[in-house]
Amino acid sequence: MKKKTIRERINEILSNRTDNPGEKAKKEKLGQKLKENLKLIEDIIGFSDDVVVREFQLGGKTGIEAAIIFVDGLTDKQVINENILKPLLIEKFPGDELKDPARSDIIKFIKDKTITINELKIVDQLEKVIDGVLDGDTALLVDGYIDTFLLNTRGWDKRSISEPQSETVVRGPRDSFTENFRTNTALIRRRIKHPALRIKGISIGKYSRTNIAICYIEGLTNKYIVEEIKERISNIDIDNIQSSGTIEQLIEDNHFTPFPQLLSTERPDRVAAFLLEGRVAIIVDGTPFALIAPITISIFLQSAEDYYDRFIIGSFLRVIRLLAIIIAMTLPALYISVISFHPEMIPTQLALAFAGGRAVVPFPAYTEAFIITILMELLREASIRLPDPVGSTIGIVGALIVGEAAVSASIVSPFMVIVVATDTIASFAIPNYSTAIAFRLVKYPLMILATIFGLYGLVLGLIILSIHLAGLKSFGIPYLTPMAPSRLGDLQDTVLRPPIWSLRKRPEHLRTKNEKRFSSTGDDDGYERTR
Amino acid sequence: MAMKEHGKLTERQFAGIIANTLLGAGTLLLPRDITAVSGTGAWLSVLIGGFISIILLLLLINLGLRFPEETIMEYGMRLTNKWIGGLIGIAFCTYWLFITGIIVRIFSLMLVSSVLLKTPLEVIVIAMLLTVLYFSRSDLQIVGRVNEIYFVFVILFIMYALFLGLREINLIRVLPLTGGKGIMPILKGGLKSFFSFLGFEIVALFIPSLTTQKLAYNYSLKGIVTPLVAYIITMIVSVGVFGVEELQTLVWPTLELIKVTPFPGLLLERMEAVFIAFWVVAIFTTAANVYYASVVGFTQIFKLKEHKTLTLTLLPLAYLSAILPDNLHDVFEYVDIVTKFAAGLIITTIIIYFAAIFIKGRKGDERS
Repeated sequence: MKKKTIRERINEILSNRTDNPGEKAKKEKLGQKLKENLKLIEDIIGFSDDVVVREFQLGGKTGIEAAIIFVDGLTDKQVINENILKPLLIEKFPGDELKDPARSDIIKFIKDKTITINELKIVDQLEKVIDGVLDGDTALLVDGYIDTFLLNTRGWDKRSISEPQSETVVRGPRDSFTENFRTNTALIRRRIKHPALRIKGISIGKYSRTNIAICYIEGLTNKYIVEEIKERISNIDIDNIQSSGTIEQLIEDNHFTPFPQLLSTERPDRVAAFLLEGRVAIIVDGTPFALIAPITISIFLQSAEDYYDRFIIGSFLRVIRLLAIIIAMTLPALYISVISFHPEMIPTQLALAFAGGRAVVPFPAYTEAFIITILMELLREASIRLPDPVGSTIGIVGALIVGEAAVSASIVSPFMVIVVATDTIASFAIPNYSTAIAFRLVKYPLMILATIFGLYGLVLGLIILSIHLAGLKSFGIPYLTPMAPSRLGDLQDTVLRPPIWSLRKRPEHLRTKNEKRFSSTGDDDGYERTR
Repeated sequence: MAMKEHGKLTERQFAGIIANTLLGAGTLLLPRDITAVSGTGAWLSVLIGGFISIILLLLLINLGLRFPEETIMEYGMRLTNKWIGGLIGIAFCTYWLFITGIIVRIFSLMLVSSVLLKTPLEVIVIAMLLTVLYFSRSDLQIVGRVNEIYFVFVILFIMYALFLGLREINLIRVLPLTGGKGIMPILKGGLKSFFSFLGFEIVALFIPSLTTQKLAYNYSLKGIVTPLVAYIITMIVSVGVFGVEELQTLVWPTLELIKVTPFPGLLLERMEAVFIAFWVVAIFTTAANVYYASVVGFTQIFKLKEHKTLTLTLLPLAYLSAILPDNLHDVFEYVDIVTKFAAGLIITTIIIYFAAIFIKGRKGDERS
């Protein structure tokens, strides 16, 4: 491409027609001459330093020019050396083919007899070549041919599979997703070795070109849900997707709510279990969290471990978690309303102790409550941002020293510290991080209402919350299913964890095609049902 | 209109709406009001009141099922004419709007006199009405779901409270079961108890939205029998605990009932604040459902597109009707008037519409 003059450059800027490599890749076409093709590609990729172009001649006496293009760092160089360059340079190409380059015999020869790469594509569109190279493939161009090889040489530095960070269990598998897309899909495939598992890829993000996979079980998952999710994801038109959290916000039903309508989990075993319940998983490249949809609120009581321990233990833990949610949400509000409005409710002895503790505190109960809860929020935020060893120090300093000092300085009463500490512990007992935050957030409006109206205000707040929750949906499934609309069959697996043998059916509200979990007939071969 | 699509309301939600609408302010007033008229035979009065309501409810549903695509506002205007049907509709909606205010007022009075001693009445009323406003902006599906949740919740709570009270009953106070004053007082009490059953008529707006309309009879019976049983138990327990004479001296008999009931082994010493907290839910569902019905009714009469437009407009009227009575005594007089008006309105409406169907003969059937 010839260098532009300043005049041309200005004209271009004025006419708002600056170089757009993405558009250009779509417009331009590959030619037959290697040199021109290389120039075109280099021009579009912009001579970036990490793009390597290696020109060479095919082995034997043919003297045909060829070149490979790959991105350094996205590719496994040893594979390129051993499986692409070496055979191409050493192999004796039939010499007389040179006379008739229109026949694609050389392409066929390379494909069939030379290259020892397991996954290769032959394309003739410039855009695909560029996309492939940027995705970690190696492009092989041969002089005289439009056909270009895309050889899968992907291999980049990746974190190995480690233990889950936010969903640790005592009993159960210890592997978790990584940032690597393929590793994640492989982890799911390893757990569901049935041909019915579908992993459909799609690329979203105009610049980031993030790979996204939609996983479901063919012939089991409700196809309307799958189609709806596909539809919503493919409708995303954004330049950058760096995390599954962005996808979540772009496809959720209701934006103005603290409650998550998709579950994010880093545990492949959980994803497998959800898939076989009839839900859909969304894997996003670069994020060690899979998204699960649709979900209902009762899922946030559940942890993967529930199903691994015996049902009595699982049920007990779920009841404890329900208690944790109630405490985390209402305890400070309850304290405020009882102390300020309904002190007669407390047994006399305790009331005296309360009064004694509060006698030296100059503030009303609600001020006290707000001071210490805000302090607690600060502590939490601080300890998350700091490196691990310092973080725990902050926890100790904050919880023990500041709390103790605040009490002896008569800023807060000791009961308030107990209340807020219990509240915080309870919020950590909620198994899902985003839900815990949602309930933590709901706590504040409830505290304000309790400050104004006492228990009356608290109940009004809870009523508003329940109306809000009743209005939420996750991909068309009401959030409060199976409570409202009630589905008696699903109700057993909410607060209690029934014995495995009594969970005979998949959740009704997901309307799966194959309801039975035990000795399910019909679709076991994994092929599509006639519908 | 998006309002009455089929399948927006499940049968269970339908039953929940009926039960929640009925269970509310009635539980606060019932024991004193009825025993004043019919003495120990009060439970019979409630039974009679309930029986009348059940018959009217079934008639309304029968009427509604003849027009499976329309609500009472719409077929009313078609059966008679724009003016008569419209007038009946407006009468219904206005009365619903009015009792929203009255119910909230009654409850606020109880709050002010028992737990929120220093809070201004108006503030309590406004807080409740704002919650009702938020509720009434939702779609019918959400209304159904909320009612479904609270249905179980309210029932469990009432049953719990009352069965605890059962232990305190002294049988001498309950007898004679017939009241011993003849049949007239019991019938009079029956009319008075009708207030506690008011609100069932809102189902006439929801029948077209049901998933399975065939089950409307079945589930509406479930919906109305639940409060009936709860009321009868309330009656027997409060008479058994206090006796007829003492009941007359109590302003909030059911609240007193909870005050005298010991709750052994609980963390808290006095439970009435907790019970009032649960009562908020019961009152809320009544007021909210009735207000929602009023809003939807007006929307259909004036053929508006969305009911949300009216929610805020009508709220000041509900507030006005809440602060209109000067004191508790006034409120009770209003309640009396409303009860009679509503009974008359419902019965007249049913008669007019059935007559219209009869006169039009088969025409109405063919159209539907």
